[in-house]
Amino acid sequence: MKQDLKLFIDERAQQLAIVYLTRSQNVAVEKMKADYGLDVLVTVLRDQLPTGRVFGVQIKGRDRAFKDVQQEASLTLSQKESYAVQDLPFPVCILIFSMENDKGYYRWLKYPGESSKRFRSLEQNQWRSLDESPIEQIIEDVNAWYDEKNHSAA
Amino acid sequence: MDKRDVIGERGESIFRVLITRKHPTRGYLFDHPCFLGEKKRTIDFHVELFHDESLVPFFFVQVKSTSEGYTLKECRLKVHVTATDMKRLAAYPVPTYIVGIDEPEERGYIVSANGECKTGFSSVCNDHPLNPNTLALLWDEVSAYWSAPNYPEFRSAFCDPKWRQ
Repeated sequence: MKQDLKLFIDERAQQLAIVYLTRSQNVAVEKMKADYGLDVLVTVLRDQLPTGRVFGVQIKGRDRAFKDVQQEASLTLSQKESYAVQDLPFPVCILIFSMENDKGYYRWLKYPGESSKRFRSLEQNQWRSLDESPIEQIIEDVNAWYDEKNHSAA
Repeated sequence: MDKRDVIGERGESIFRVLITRKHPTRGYLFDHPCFLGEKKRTIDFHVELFHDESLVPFFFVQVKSTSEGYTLKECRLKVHVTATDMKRLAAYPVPTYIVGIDEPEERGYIVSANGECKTGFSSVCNDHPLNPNTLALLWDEVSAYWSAPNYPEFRSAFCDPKWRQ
C-alpha cells in the first residue's frame, strides 16, 4: 500500500476535482490521457453547448490536512511541469486537496485577472478555499479573460 | 450530453470519492473502484479491500444516482432498482451492494443486494450513509466473508429495514 500511496492519493484528488468542477452544469470536464502537464481540460458551456473557451487544471493531493495552506502548499513546479504549461494559450489553475478532510484549494497558474492582456504573474496569487469560492467564480474569471482577449483583438 | 448521463457520471465520481475516504484511525480501507464499463449488465464497480497480501477480498456495486431527493414520509432516497437487477446481483457468489447517490448533496447510502430483497424498489433507506464508520463496517463484513472457510451464507449488516418486514 505505502509504495502506491502517492498514486492512490493522486487518483483520489482527481476524482475530488471532478466532483468539485461538475457542481456547475456550465462545464464539461475531460481527463487528459497523456501526461502533457495538465490533468483535466475544462470546457465552458453555454446552454449546454461548448463555447470554445477552455481552461486547464493541474491537480495535486496530499495525505494530511493543511494547517496553513499558504505556507504549506508551495507552487514550485518541476522543470517538466513549467515547460509543459508555459506556451498554453489559455488559463491554467491548480487544485490541491487534503485526503484527511477532502478540503480543496485553488490558485491560478496562468491568471485570468481583469484587464489582463497577458497572463499575470503569480507572485501575489494566494490559495483560495474551494468551500468559499464556488466553481461559478472560476468560470466567471475565465469568461472575463476571454472577453478581454477578444476585445483586445478587435 | 443527456441530463441523466450527466447525473449518472457525476454520481459515479461521487461514489469513487466516498468509498475511498480515509478512516480516522484505520486509514484507507478500499482501493479505487474499477468501473466495469457501460456494457456490463447490473454491476458497475469491482472494489478491492486493502488487506494483507495473502488475500484480496472484493465486492461488487451497482451505483444509482438521483437528483430527485428523498421521499417525504420516510426520507428515503428516490432511486429505482429493478427486480431483475436484484435477482442478478443476488446470484453472484460474492458480496454485492447497491449504492444510492444523492447527486446534489454528494451523499451516498449503501444497502445489501445479497438476496434479502428479490423485488425491485423505488427508494432506498438512509440508514447506512457512506461515511468512515460505515466504510469500516463494510470492510469488516467483506473481509469476514472471504476469510471464513467454505464461504458461509452471506448475511449483510446493510439490510434495508423494509425488507425485514
